[in-house]
Amino acid sequence: MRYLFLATLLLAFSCRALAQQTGDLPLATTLPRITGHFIGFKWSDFARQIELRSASGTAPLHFYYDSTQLDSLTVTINVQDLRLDSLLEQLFKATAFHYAMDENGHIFISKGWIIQPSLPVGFFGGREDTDSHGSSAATGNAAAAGISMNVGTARKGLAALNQANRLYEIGVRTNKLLPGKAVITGYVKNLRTGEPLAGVAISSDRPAISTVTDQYGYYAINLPRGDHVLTVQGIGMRDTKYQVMLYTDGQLEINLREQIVTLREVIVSSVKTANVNRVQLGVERLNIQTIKQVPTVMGEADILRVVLTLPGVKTVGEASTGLNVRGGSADQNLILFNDATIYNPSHFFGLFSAFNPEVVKDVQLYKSSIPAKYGGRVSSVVDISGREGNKKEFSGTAGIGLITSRLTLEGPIVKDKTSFILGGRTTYANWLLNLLPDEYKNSRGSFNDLNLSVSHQLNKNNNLYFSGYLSNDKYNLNSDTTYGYGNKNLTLKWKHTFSSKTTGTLTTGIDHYQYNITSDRNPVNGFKMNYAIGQIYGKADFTWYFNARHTIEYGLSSIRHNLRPGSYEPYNDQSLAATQVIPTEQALESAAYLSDNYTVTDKLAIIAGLRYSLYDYLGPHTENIYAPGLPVTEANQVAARTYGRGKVINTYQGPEYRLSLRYAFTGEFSVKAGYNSLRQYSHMLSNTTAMSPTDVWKMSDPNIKPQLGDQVSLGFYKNFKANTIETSIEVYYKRLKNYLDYRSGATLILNPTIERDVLNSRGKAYGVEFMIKKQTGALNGWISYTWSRTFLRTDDPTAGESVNKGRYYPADFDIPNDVTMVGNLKINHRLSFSLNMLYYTGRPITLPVSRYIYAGSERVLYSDRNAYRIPDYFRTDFSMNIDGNHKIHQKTHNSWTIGVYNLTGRKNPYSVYFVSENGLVNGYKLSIFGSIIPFVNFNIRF
Amino acid sequence: MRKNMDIFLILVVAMAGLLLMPACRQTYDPPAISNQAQHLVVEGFINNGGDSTIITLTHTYLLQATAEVTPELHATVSVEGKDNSVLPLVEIGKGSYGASLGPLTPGVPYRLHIKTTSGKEYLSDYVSQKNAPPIDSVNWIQSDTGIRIFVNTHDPLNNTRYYRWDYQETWEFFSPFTSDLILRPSDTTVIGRDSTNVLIFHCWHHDQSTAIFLGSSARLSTDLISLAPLLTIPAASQQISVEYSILVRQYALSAEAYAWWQNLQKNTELTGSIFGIQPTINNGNIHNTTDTNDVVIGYIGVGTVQTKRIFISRDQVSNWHYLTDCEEYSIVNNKDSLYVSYERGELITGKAPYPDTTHYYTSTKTCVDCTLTGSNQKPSYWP
Repeated sequence: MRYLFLATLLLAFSCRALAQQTGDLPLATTLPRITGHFIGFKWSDFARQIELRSASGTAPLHFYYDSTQLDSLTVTINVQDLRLDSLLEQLFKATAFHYAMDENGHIFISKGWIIQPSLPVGFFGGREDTDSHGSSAATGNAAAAGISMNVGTARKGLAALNQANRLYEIGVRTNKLLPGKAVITGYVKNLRTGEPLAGVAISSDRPAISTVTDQYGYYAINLPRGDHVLTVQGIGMRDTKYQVMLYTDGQLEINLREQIVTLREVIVSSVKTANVNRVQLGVERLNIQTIKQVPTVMGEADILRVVLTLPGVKTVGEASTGLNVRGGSADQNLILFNDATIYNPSHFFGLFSAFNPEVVKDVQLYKSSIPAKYGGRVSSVVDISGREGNKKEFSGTAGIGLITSRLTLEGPIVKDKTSFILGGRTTYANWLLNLLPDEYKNSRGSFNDLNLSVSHQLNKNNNLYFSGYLSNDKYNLNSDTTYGYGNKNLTLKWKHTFSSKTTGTLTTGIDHYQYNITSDRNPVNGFKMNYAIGQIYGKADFTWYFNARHTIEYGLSSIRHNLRPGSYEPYNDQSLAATQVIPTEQALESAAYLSDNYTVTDKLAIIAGLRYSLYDYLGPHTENIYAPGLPVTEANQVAARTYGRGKVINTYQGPEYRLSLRYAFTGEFSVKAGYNSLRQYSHMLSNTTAMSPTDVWKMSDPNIKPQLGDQVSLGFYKNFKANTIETSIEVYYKRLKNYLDYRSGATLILNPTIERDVLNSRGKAYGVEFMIKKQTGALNGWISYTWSRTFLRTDDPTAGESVNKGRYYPADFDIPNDVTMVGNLKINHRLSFSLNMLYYTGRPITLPVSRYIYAGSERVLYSDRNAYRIPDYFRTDFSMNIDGNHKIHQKTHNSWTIGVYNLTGRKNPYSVYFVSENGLVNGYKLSIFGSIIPFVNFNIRF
Repeated sequence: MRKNMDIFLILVVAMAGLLLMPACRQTYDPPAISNQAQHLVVEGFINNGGDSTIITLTHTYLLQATAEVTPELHATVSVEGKDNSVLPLVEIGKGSYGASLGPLTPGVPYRLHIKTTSGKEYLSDYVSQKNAPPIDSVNWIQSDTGIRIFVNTHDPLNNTRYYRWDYQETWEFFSPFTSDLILRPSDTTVIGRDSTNVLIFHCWHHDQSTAIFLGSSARLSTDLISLAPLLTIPAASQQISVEYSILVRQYALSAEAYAWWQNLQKNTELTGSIFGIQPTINNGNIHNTTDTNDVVIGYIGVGTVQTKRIFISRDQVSNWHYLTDCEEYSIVNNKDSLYVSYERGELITGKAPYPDTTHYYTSTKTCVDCTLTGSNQKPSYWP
């Protein structure tokens, strides 16, 4: 705001400076004659050239102009001995620019109005002003008054700095508009912080073409040459219009203002048509403001919990942040945080997600149309983008909640070029543990996470990004068994704009996850157990804005997987524990992809992508070979072959198709269809219903085939009430192959021959998702209903063992009915209320069918797997967000969140289980948060 | 602490337990399932030692509270050696069949053969003999929560690796109140009790383990089990009000048998984890000879059993303040009041004042008659 005001003032002054030039036109004969071949000269360079050429002559020339008006003007002209006035005439013909000269060789360039270098005769009561030495520094009331008549209207427009009134000329200006199209590229940034804005829609009305900024705020839009009005819309940002005159390919930097800083503004939302216009299906974007509004347990803004409220996303229960997207298992989601793969996205065994909301910008979930640049998981991609630090000034936030304290600092390192953001969270959850019985009284638990992101603009065409993430969970049970796990991720990215049509990003990074268990209770048995999985990757992604109809994306990626699947060692010298180290695993997963976003007509658009992935399982490793066609058991092992370092043990490869199609019947109604196939070369071994920190990963090898998945989907999208209400219906059918299940009593940890304990399964999932969403206005939120089914079947003819006799059975996360309402009501700019309501069918469970007596106790005999269900789930949460006052010039801004989780106090069962206790069988229904849980959170921004 | 592969499971379960504390647990009644087939349950051990081999045949029964276990009666049960020897067992009653078979021919695998009266025939796999090494010691540690009892063993040949234990507890105790008087209900008259023949003050309680105790040294460099936990005697409980004894029995298991027992433990005792471990199918080594889909529960092992008995007396433990909630009631000396008290199941513990009794004192039956929870026969092994 202040900057704008300052800019306006400067403009006004420069107008005034121009205004007091007086005198007659210089004699035409004294003007220089210009010969030259100017191609793509910036106006300022061109003007300097002319000034230099005239400097030695009798009448040195000076150009006066408002550089903000002419920065986008480029001069391309070929002249032979042409007098300057003719040259300017020619140059400015058919543009909004005008020039004027005074007798002192001052040339004034203006836009939209003509400067009169001399005052009208008799302006000052008949006295002629004969000041012949006007300089740009001199000011005079009279002169200012004189010019004001001419500039009056322009000033008014400028004072508001409404971009809509300014014409932006793009590219190399040509006298005559060339036929065809040209590309406008650039970055969209937050005017206040300089932070790039992702997911901002830029659209032209005529013809209706739109694009969306990528995660770096970069956009490219291909339009017919000529004048356009571009509407720029981002959630939480003020809608802005840009008038452009498009000559040739060029750049346009767009700065948006935040919507929240203004009070009592009437928000006119126009074309929020992303869901209708986007070609992909099953894409959901949540920005952090929305995420923070949703009440969660203990008031911790929780990214994955909010993702869980989206249609098609399920979880097995409140204690798990494992996402089951459209019938996929929790390990089939690629969870990316600033391009880094997060293997375990949870703290506290799954009660909280491991992402600090203060450093997150937004989350994008792809559950159906997965862009060709992503691969390696068969169900979904959760792409979490971190925020970039404020490039203008230092600021920070601090927060206190029931579970964690947070501190975030950000600011420029080099103003407008380099910024950082540093965020940390730490817990004091020990009070939770103090509620435990005495035998746990020495227990300690804690978690923390740390994020650091640095972004640096080398120049207009080169940006560097660094991102680091560290998370740690540690538990100390009764002070003798320690248990810890953590993520470590580093990413380095270089984004380069090759030309206005081609941009590329080079990314490299290291991802790491480890856990360890230490026990020293009994010195004889004391042990240390370690597990680690990591990957080093590099990828190059390019976008080629070929023309208005085709945007081509292509790239290469390579991931080197390194697993240390477990080591078991004595805790100290006294321990008799035998050291066991499971041999490491190595693999190289490479892929190339090509995707064309093809706008066939205004109505029909297609994204056709092909990804080809190539997977090599590498030595050093000893591979067990089993007799073909027989169960993979010790008895059927025929040989073992040892491979040296880097030797390829086996290779899997195959194409993955990514196809989506959109037909927009009107601007407010479209139908989409898609087909996707994916391959996954890593498997998480887990025989628990919920994800556990001790789950281990296994790479595909000659005995364990990669998981394959494909999905067809169809969607209908319709917007109402000037696109403020979005509705959609999506239908899908998905197949999964080579999903792993386990033999009875399989040991998954520290098992060097895991291939003997797995069973291949096949899965099918189908469903329909209904959604009504209102993103803007005082009342916003969404209501969704999903009907879906997921079935698995043991598909291993040689296994000799099968679940439920090889029939299809419902998966753990087969939740047929799911109704979700997430709502937020803004009373005013300082007070808002949020309400969640969730209902879903209870998940399947294996129940006992009869009892028997064995080993001195009653015990239970179980039914077929997942033949029954736990009772249905219903929960309502409520929260109230109270902001302090909105005065800009105060040191700190604070806000409170007060809320209640599980308002109705319903004891929602998380699981049902039967246990033999003191000789008898008892059945229990377990609720994780089986009561009303109030919370309060305090945040301060500085 | 068990020191084997399931150590991780236990840790996970323990930590899950931590998290569940703020959570809440309610009893759950399963949906009524009535059309469930009854399956044969075979429990026992082919004993190579001096003790008898006892095989018990029962059936599975429904979850409904009214359902009860039924024995398989009058079956033909025998132990068959791979050397074609047949060792028949005789019916003891209540579904148990037994005989003293040991010592068996060394090196010969044996199997169990069952023929029921309904004509079904069951065979176990042939099982190799696995004899348990002696128990090194059974020891205990007193802590705030009670007395934890551990077992220690080792196999110098490093052959056993997998162990299972069960135990029998015996403790000596006294009724809180003595009783020299008894109400004769026929005429509601208080008479003297025959306290030389009817001993209800001094008893021994017998109990046996109800949980599965497994141990493995598979992860250790030597075949040694150190401080495998068995049970915790709750602090200040009746168990050590006088003297306590535990007899620990040790079995050696094959790797397969160990896996079966471990699955049984996971399916029936270690449930309720926050991560939700799916119950697994747990096929034992006994099969219906004709119907492969017939589920038979049980795992038969062959070998010797090693035992160890220890005693813990009141003076070996500290701060063992055993208190009961038994109390005496004062009953007015009239027939109606005494009869009401008798109907309530109370026994007379005294009278007052002397010599003209105006009141009798009574207490709940179990506070007076120790034979209701124990036996007044002193066990032969009792010191």
